[in-house]
Amino acid sequence: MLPGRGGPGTAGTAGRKKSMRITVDEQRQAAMKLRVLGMHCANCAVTIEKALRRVRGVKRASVNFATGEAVVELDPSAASLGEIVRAVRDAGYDVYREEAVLIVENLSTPSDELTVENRLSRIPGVVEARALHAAKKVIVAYNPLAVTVDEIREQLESMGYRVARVAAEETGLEDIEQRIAEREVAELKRLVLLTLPPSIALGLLMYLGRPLLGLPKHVVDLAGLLVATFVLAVGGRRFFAGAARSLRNLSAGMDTLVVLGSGAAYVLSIAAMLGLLESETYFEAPAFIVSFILLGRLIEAKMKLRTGEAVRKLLELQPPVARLVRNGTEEGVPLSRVRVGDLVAVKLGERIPVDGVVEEGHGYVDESMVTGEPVPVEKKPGSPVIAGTLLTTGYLRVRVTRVGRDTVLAQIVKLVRQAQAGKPPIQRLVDRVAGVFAWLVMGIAVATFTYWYLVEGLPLGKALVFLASVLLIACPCALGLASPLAVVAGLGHAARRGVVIRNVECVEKAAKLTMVVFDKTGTLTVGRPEVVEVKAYGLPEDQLLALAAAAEKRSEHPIARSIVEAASRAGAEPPELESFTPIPGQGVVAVVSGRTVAVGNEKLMKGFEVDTSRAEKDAERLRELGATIVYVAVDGQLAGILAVADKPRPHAREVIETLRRMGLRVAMLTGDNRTTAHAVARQLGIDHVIAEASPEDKADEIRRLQRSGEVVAMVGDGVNDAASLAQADVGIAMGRGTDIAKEAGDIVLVRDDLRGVITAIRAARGIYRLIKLNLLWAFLYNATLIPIAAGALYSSHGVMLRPEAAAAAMALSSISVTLNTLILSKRIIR
Amino acid sequence: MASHEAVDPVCGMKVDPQKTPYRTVYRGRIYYFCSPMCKKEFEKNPDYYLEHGPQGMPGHNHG
Repeated sequence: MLPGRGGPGTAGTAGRKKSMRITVDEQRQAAMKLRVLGMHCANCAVTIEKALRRVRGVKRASVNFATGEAVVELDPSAASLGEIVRAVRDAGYDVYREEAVLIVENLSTPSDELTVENRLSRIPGVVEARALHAAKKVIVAYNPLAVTVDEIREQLESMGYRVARVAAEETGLEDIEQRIAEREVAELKRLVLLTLPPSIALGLLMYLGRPLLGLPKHVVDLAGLLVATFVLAVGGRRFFAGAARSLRNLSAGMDTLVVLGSGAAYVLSIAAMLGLLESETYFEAPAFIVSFILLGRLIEAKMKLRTGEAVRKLLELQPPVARLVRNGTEEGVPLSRVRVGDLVAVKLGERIPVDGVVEEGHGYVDESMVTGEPVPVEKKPGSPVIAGTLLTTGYLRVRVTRVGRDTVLAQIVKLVRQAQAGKPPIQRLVDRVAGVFAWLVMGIAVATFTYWYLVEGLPLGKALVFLASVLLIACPCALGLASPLAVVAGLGHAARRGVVIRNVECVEKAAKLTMVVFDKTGTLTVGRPEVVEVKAYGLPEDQLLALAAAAEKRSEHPIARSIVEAASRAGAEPPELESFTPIPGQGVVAVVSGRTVAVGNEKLMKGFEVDTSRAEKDAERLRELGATIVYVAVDGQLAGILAVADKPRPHAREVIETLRRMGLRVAMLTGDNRTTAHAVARQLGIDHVIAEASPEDKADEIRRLQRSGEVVAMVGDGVNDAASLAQADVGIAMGRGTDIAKEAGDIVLVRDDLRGVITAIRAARGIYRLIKLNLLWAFLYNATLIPIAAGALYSSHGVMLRPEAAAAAMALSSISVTLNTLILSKRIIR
Repeated sequence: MASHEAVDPVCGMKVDPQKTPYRTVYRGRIYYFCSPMCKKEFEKNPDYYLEHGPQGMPGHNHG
């Protein structure tokens, strides 16, 4: 899946038009096979068929439950795979897709992104294409039964793009990305050094040289011609190539504007120099714009490299060499040679190179980078350790469980990178606007020229200057830079604080939250409940505990574990279990020594028609204290109750208080009894409580809140709460420092610390604010300067923006957006 | 109780009691469902379904 919840992005535009260059044969388009996921009965097949037939352009659809395949016959001109996939998803199922990442070296501007996305999503079999010029990559989700990666690659190459590498997955590409980014920086630096000094020299010559030294005009013109020609030839090549590519794909972008603007000024000046045109020469304008835009791109590229490196630094915490233990001797080997199952030794002061479990030794490990706890954690045989953490005292031998890409650290880095490559919805809008913008500007330029030349009767040369100035000033670079930079910077900052924002699309939502809903057990509480009181009716306490423990032995619920522990503490031996059925949200039913034992909540007792009135007084008293009551019934008779209580998590109160100060409502969602839930909520200062919600109700409760107009974040432990995390506008999963990639949730708190919720929301608000600020900046600039460049103040005040000034202003706007992000990101995103 | 096959009392579909997470207890018996919808429907009015037998999928779509 692509980052995000799989909203089909640009896929909607697919299928509208068929390109001549598409090489895939029509046959496959006419009848397409899909693999459908999630079918569990023949009924499902019928449901999906119905859904498919409703899609416009689908002629026939048949779904085979046994093979899990759907065959869809469609009218190639009408339906797209994107729409078909959406229909299947809307019906509650999914289509198997594969994902490929193509590294495209000359993917350089947002307009390239749009061209590539549009063209690729028209290939039959492509579900979604996402191009990211910042990362120089194209991520394609496709149906492997209909199209191959090679065909996608061919399509890109036929459009004039150089595909450097293809990978089936995102992993393992970091080095290449890094190298490409470094090469780009080096290349830009070279070009800037080559072009900027002569441009500046030319500028000085024009403004100072002529008036002060009295150099003749034709000498200055000749110097100008030489410099401009050199700069355009050396530094302008990439812009010309980009513009040519756009032209080939019938689109226009920033490169087009740069080329038209500098080209117009250049040609105009040559014509003036040869006396063909009554005008001044403006050779410094093309020289300025090209060298300044190169400078802007250099700063941008450098900054991206820097933010990328910050995340990468996390990985560098893993030492490159491990001490492999073999036949009792230690040998230093490169980390790449360590395999799962190996034994490695870690000495005092060293970082642990792999994820693993301590086999022998003893020591204290500083895990603050992952857990956020500053206190070193004691490690002894059986303790898990995480790669990159620091052994502060002692000596450990660790059995390797995960290496390389699978380690927790590598997963964090991968997720952050994926997210950094994503786009918030606001950026999609901006990209589309920028594509239109180029055409609009060309229109304005032509209109400006026509007006001054034909209507006002200005000399041709002068009218052409206005045309050139408009083209030069309107380059929407700043617009294109505004949000990617903010996102890259913001996500990096958050990641270093243990908050992994996996889904950029949720940033906007997270910035607009009105309510934060916490799951109770394991989120607001530590999740290690303990049996605090036992009341037995009619049988000895230890026998009650033994029966309950026997029934709960196989359950993974934390309450079950507390009962088993309490029994073993009391020295009660649980009898043999004959059968066991967990009822989610209620408890368990088991047969123990021929007796039916039900252990669970009131609802379970009701189901068994057990009379619980006898325990009610005790139960109510314990609930008032915040304990959860577990009833035990044997053969339909109440045998006793167990009171289970869980400690609130550290910082829970403080976090809730802070959220409220940030203007958010806070609620607690739990399956627990109302009295218990309210008692816990009172302790924590929460006033909105949703209690007695069954697991499947939890998502409905969130939906209900959303319908009443709330923008809801759900905070849960990620494993039990997957449905409600997915339903919420923003799902925040409390990570346990392991397997974070598999957890549900848009945001994962890597450190098992509630305060991450605050960090996450602050980061989202900061990123969003920064995006808006950058966009405002870029927009204001264009809105004020285009009219001036077009000559709005010329008739009244005689103000005319010279092309070279337009070029400088344009470059400055990009640089200012970049600097703005650099300076503010640290302050805004705390 | 540990039979190999159970019938969803609401829609009549066969469900694997080992696999489905949708279960409830009524009058001392465990009932298994194919979906949360069926479970909810049953809990609203268990006697009706136990008396009249399966009525087909609640609502018009499932999943």
